[in-house]
Amino acid sequence: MYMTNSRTLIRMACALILGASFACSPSDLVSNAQLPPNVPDPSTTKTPAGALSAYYGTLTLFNLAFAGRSNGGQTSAVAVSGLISDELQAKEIGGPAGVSDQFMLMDGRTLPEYSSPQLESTAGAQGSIQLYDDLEATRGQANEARGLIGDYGTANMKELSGHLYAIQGVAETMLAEMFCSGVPLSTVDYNGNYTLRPGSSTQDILTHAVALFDSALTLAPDSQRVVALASVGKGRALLGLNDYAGAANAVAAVPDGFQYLETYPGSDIATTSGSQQATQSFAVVNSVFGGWELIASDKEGLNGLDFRSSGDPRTSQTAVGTTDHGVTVYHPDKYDQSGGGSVVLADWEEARLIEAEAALKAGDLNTWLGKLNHLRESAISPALPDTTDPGTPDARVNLTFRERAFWLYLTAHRQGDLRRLIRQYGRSQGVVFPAGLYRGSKGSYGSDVNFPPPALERVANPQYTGCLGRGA
Amino acid sequence: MHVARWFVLAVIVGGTFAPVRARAQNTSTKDSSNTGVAPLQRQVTLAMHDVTVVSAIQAIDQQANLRLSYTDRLPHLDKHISIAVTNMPAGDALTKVLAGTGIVMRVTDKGRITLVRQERRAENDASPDTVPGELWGRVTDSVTSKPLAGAIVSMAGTKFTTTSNDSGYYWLNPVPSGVATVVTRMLGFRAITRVVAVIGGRQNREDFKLEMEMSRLQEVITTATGPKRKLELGNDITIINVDSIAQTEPVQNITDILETRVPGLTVQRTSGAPGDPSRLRFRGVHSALADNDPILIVDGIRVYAAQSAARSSNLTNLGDASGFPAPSPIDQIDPNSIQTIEVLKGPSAATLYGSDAANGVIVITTKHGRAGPTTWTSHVEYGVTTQPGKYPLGYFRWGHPLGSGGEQQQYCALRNQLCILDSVSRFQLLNDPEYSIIGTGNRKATTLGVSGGNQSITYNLSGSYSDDIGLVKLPPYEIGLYQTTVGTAPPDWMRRPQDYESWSTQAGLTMKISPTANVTINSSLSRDNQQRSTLEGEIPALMGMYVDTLTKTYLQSSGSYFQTNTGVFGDFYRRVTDQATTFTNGVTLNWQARSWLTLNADAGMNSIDRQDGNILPRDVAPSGTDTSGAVTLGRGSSLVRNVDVRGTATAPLPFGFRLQTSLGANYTSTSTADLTIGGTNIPIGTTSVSGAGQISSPQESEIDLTTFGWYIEPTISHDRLWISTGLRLDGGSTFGNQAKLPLFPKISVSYLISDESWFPFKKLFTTLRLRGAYGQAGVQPGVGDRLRLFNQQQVWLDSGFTTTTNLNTLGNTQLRPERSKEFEGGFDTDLFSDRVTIGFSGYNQTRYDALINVPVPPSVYGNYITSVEENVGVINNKGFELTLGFVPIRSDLITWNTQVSLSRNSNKVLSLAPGVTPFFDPTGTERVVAGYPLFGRWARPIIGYQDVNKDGIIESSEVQVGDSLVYMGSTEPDITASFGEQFSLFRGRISVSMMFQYQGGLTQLNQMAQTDQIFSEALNDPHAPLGQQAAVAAMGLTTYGEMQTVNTLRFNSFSIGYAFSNSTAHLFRAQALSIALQGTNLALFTNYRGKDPNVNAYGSGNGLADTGQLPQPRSWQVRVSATY
Repeated sequence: MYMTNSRTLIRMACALILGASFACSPSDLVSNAQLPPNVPDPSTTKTPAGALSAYYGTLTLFNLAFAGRSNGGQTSAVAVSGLISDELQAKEIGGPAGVSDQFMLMDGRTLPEYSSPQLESTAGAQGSIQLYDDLEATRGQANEARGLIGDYGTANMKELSGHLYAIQGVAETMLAEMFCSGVPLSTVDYNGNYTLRPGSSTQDILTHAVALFDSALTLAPDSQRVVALASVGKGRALLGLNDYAGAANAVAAVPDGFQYLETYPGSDIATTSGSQQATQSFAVVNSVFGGWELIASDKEGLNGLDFRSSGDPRTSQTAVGTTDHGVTVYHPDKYDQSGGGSVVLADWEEARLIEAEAALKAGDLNTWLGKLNHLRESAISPALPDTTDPGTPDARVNLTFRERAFWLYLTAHRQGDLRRLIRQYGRSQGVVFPAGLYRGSKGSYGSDVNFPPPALERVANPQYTGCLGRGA
Repeated sequence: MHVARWFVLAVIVGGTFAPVRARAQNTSTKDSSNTGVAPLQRQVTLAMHDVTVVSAIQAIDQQANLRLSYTDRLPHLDKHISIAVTNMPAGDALTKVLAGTGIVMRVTDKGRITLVRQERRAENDASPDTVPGELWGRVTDSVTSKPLAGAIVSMAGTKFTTTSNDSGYYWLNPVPSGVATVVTRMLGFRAITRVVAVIGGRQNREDFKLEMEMSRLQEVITTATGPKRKLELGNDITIINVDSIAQTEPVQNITDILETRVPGLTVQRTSGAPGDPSRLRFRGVHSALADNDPILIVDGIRVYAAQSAARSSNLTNLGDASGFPAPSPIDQIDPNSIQTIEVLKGPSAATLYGSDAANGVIVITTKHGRAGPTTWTSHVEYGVTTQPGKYPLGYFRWGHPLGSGGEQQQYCALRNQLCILDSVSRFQLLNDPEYSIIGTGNRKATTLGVSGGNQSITYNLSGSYSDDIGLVKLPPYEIGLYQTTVGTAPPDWMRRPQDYESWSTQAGLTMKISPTANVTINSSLSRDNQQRSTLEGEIPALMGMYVDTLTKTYLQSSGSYFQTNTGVFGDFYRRVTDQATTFTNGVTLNWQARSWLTLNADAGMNSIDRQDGNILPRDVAPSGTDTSGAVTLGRGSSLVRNVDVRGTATAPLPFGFRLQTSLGANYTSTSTADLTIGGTNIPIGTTSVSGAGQISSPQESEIDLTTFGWYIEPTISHDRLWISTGLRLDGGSTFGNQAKLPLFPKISVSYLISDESWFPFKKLFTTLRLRGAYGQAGVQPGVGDRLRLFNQQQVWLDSGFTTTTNLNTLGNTQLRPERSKEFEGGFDTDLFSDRVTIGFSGYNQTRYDALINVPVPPSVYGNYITSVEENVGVINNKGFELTLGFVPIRSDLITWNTQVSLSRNSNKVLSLAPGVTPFFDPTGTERVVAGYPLFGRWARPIIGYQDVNKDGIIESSEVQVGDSLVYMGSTEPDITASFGEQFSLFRGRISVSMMFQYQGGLTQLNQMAQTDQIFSEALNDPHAPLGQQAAVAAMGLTTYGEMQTVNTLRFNSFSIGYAFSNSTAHLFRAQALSIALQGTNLALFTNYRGKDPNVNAYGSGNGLADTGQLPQPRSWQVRVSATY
């Protein structure tokens, strides 16, 4: 009886298992695999809400690129541009491993192109890489978002697309101003197909950026904010292309008082939100890392401007600590030490400065000086005393760029301006950028005026063979 | 009809088609008075040269007293032959003599043996008047005389076959009368082929006493379709008897067991910290993806064994110095619970395991006990571990500025013409007991097991515990400094951070639930606790640190310059823990439904619960670093569910062939879910995120992966020939929706040529088997690789939080699994009475559709999308494996056993898809180029150097570096060899074993050479060779000087054991008692300029580089074992 029952049970179990197994097909059981719950369903992007969130995604990426990042990653455009120029200095080595080294390389203008990511990493030369990544990602995401908006966008789709063109234009302008000639502008389309591109020259990138700004102006004529941003951006790009009249013309309609701000939550909001910590991190004074990781400069490297010692309220600084090596750390008063607040991306001040430079180039000294003094009277309270014509062409150029440096202090313009002084005004890098001995025993400042793309670009993009030129 | 029997297997579970049934009568009443030796079994010895056939027949007849009858009209009686046999059954000898003569034996009704023409016998056999007979007998163990159940008894060349019952009896009834060749075989025993006479109308008894087969070829292997003898398989499958190895040799985990015992295996070790994982690579690296891991089957159950997945790191990996790999799940299986390990190294052997198995399969069988009295076993061991060898020295040039009086002592760079050299200091903190953080570790372990059972039930229960304290320690002066600055003594975990504690229990039970069915239940539970700290991350820094003892300044190299530190140590305040609790449960049902049909089912689950932590307690770090504390907690789980069902039917075929067909289905589901969360500003004394001032973003990961496959394996066999084919159809949840389901075929042939009667070298070869196999298997893509995915998150924008979407992966809907095709051929032989054994295998494995992470440059989407997975590569591995066993001395007094294995593998990327150009892997140190090894090392070459300014110093400007990358070498060794000696003295009272291991052809990247270049000999000693100077001078431009092709010979292990006499053992109430002294990693002979080339920095992926990880320690331990 026992055996009979056992056998019957075994037979039934085996028959059941075998029958069930062989009745199934491999494709039946596995082809409808579910997405893990933590992976967003790709189909949710193909909706109006998805298209809108892709638009916001673009803005967020650019927000990171411009002045954001969490602690230890002060590689935004504002920080990087400030380091290689005379706005910021790197603290001495002694902070968290890997943080200070890359800043010193940027600050000391020693930025060789590396043939492999390994060499690059070993040398600690990664300071500009995150900026490059963020700016290129902004371009890719703008393209992606425009595709979604085109298919699933709502009534204001043109304005959104126009805004995306403007943001992409600014990102490409920054790539041109801060990186070497030869940055590739590869593309990724709406379906995920990507196309690799060879390096584009600085001129080509700026020309492309102008076209993007024009697209923005065409698509969003009713959005004052987008139009003004695209206008200032176009003026900035044309200035880089040596087209002063075109630049002035582009910004002529930008009204006084316009500001396009990139805002950042303070560290309190960012760290308790449970979301991305896009603080204005280059400005954060963080006790965890023993203070601010950067130092606001004053007369850096022979050629640096007297941002602090001039007493100018536009570039005032406050001592916030001392490095391990006894160096006083200054923080720019322009920004909150919590990392919260806004950073100007484009504003009417830049528009008037573009007009002033164009007037100077055209020999219209009255307009030039008038524009400069209009800013000194209207853009700050209390007003600054008017400036006067120094009398010589070189001094007028110096004054123009000094005013730009003070008005646009720590807004990622300074590096581009110094390069333009070399490229368009015939100055040498040795009298424009910080030069001479760098931190005493560490040697001298290098001769680089821009950043190379990361080595990964060289090894992963067969069409890219390196910078086309490392000059201004 | 027999041929097609397998076809109805799936539907006729209780079928009644058995054509030849074993009779299941009560056998106790059966007996025979015929206890003498049957005439044809009487042994004869002949040594006749060039004699006639009839002379040989007469000689046999005379010796065996056969009383043969034949006429002289038979053909070929005058044919001349030579025959030499010793103690051969007369029937066999006659068969040998009559071969090719056309004469055969016939048995008359009265039992007389006559010789007749072959055609006449055929007429006779076909005659309806021929009376059939019955053949029966008993099959027993030749040593124990116990009955053997399940032995297969068959008449060669006929359809008649049966199996012995529980009492060992078999019946073949009815069978044709006459002389027949009967073959009796059973797994694990040497087969007997015997010529017997069946007398019509009678019950003819033939008993068979089978000898336990000691030959390697008779070893039983657990295949995907059930147990098979190694002899029957066309592959070289390594079988390791763990139980016996663990008794005599030092093993701590499965990797230790496999490392020198599996030809073709390369072990990639991550570091020498206790519990640190290793990656196993069989027959080279096949996939450009991170996963080249073999799969692991334990008692028929697939278990989680990923060694290269992202989660193989500690779940709290922050990407900094505290990011350690987690212990390998393979090494969490207690080796003391294992009976055997079988290793299937390639797809030709692993086809039926499907689309995950192309990297190889490790099959583990745990102990289940044996019938017999209850046996208790236990062992205890204690050992110490030390750092082998010394670290390379650094150089520091002291000098003074030109023109000064010498009072201003400073670093005087070789190239600094303004500095006058005063002295050169040689230093190495890691060799200095005052500063070194490398001390002495220890290990203690114990096991306890009990096993036994009877005919109905067998069982094994075992448990083990071990605790390893690693080498790393906080030096006394730093302890004092800590007390001064913090105010308390550093906690124990800070002083001795490396600790790996493990305990496990295992139970195996086999029950007979009916005369033809049994159930095996396996269950194991283990827990592993690993502790590390950031202290060990200071080893690379200490390698390149010079301490000026006069001024107490600390100068640390940083490539081409050094920096001044405020102390020796940067960080030793962060504690990293990993706890894994593993539970595996499985049940196996075996049912012999019919004599020709067996049904099997395996079902089980394997669950691993991970609890990891990364803790920086509040107020333990000095000011200047974070004193508010931080904690990151990781919680993870993996669950593997597995069901495998199969049936195997056997049917005879004409001419003595048999057909065995297995049909099965397999379902495997693997789910992992991980969650990490961190907090900063934590309360004093807590290690939890609760109460933390700030909580960081939690990270969540969940992956479900499923495969389901059908497989079929028809095998045709003869006494000496096995031809097996197979096919598996697989579906996988990771395949792209446009990919076809892969079909994996296989075929294997095994031919025991030495058993052929015509085989001419029988004196030389005890056995010689030729084999060949071809098969395919696959590797699945990653779970989300086919999908174009997005990141969605709440992000601050303008004035509040907004939902944003960004591209996360590009995806590839065309993805399909990699497909590996492998041909393997070789032979196995035993020579000179089994004193010499040789196994040779050559293989050629090509992986098509190799999945490659094609890098996407940052100009596409920054670093948010860095790669896209594509089936673009064709990768080939070919080579050979040779094993040689030699027993020079075999006596009661001394047995000397030598084992040598040698394997060579050549790896090459045959092609990449059109448009795919050479690229670096994500780590940036290796490259994928068609025509060269996968992830070979490449560098811009130093093509020349010249001391232009004649100052005796090569500077970077005097070195010419080529523009194009050149191939430097492979990241995997191309030659591996092991050499083992075992001595057993005084009847096994003393045993000695030692093992050496050689690796050649590995090209290592010594990143420490670059990091520490400022203190290198080349930059400090003006007498350093110019070539050496050039290599260092060019380090800013190329890694050429850091790469080195390395050969190593490692004295891997040594053991000497003593088995106490029975009387001594009885004093401790034991049946057996032994003690052993065992050592591992005793010496390393290498041309490598760094410390140890066989450790690397990466816990996952294929990247290999020496970044100063803690090398493997040397250990000595004493082990005492007892059996009760």
